[in-house]
Amino acid sequence: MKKYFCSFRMGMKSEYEYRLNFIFVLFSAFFPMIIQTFLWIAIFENSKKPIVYGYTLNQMILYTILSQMIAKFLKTGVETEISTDVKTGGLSKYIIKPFNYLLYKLFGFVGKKAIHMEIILAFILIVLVVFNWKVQITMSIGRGVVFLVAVFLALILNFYIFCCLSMLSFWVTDAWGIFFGARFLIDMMSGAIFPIDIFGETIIKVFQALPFQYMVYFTVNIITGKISLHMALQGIGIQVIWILVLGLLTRYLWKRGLLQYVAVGG
Amino acid sequence: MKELTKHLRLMGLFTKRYIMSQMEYRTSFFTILIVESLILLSKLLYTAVVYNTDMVVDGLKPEAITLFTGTFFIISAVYGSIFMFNFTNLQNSVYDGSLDIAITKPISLQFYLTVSTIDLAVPIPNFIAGAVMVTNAWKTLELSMEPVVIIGYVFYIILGVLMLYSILLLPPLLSFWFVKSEGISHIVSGLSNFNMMPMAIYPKALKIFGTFIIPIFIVSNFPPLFVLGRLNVGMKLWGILAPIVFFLGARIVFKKAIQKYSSIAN
Repeated sequence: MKKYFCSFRMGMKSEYEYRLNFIFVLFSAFFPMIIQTFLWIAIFENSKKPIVYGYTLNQMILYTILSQMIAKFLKTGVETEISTDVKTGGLSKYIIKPFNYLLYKLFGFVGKKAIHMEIILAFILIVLVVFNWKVQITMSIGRGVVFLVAVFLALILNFYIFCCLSMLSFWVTDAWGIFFGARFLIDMMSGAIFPIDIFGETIIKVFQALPFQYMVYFTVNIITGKISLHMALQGIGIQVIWILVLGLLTRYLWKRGLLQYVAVGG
Repeated sequence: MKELTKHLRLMGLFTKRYIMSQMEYRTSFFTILIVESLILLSKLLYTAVVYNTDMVVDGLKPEAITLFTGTFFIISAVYGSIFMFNFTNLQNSVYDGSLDIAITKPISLQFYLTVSTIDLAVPIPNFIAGAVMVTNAWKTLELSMEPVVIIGYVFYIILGVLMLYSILLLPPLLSFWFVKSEGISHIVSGLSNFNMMPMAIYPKALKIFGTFIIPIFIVSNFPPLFVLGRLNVGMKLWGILAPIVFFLGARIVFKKAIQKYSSIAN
């Protein structure tokens, strides 16, 4: 386990070096946030109902802000890293070493995110304090802890989704288009662009059978108070199940993929 | 006139070169097409929300709002086709020193660096969606089909493209001073997304900022506003003057930037 903590520390150190970059990335999330906030204000002003898609205006604005932040925080580049390693033959230097490559990547990824976590939590705290001052939101220490656990599990879940996807690199020479397209689809299905409630019952049912909503939609709604603490705990259980399923699938594909691997340039 | 013909002929040659290369790498063409369609799909969610909630803003019904969104897609298609890849390449060419070869070409350096890489896969989905939305809005709203209105709309679209070119060229030019300016490019390009919705949804301060300071609303808010008869004489003139002023400004910055360039190959 010690060697994986080294990877964790390496991830932390490298990200600390480029922490300003993450602040820029966060800043780029402000524009969709502003556009959507004013869009929702216009919709609620126009609507005669105080609740649209199951949200009050304040809940919707809070959702808009937090979903953009959480989506940026969860973002991974692991699929590109693994794909490059497979394509260039760089993977060879890892598979001869006495550690599990995928665990090495996971710990490195979590290490990077540990630095982002401080920035994102500070931001979320500011947003919540401002919102609590303006309007009352259902907040308690218990809900806060459940939220933190859900965010951490969402991070691991996101890692395994993209890690699983990256296994395609063993069969497809240049999979950047698949990764890029998948990112947009996953953003849509996870509730990162709009809450999935806008899609209508049939599509929501399909989304509920998939793991994506447990990344953004579920975690943000713990804070907005749209789901009860009991349902939040249930959701955490489902997150764990999806992590196990995707972890096992990734492991299976990794083993199959290695049989295909040709160390080009290695 | 002779210069214009020469540059138009060159654009024809760049397009021919693009088609030849895409015939060689057909998969790449279809990959970009699919990815771009997915990006478009995520943007269409905004329109879906507008229709679902039957939003009316400043007297603009959903059909009128799609006139704005459609125009945004058309201008995005033109930008994606002619300038987008060039602006990315410009940053890279400063970084890796490949600008040296471009400087030796016997044509306008700004023209060569900002127009030489044409792409036809990016604009297809955007243009189709934009054209369908604009045509549908035009019909539903029973807008005037008089040549003056149509020519005026196309004229403001051309000015919008010029404005977008002038604004989005500035971040890549910063790479002459800072070498890496991707973060700023991301932020500035995000500004153009404000045009997905009519500027009427934003607060007054943002409208003034987006019309007079960084006139991003001139890009794709002014053409539909002209068609809907919502541009007063002052705004009509500003919509013509601002793109010209900003283009001349971008030209001056470009010349200054080139003077700053020091080749890393020497």
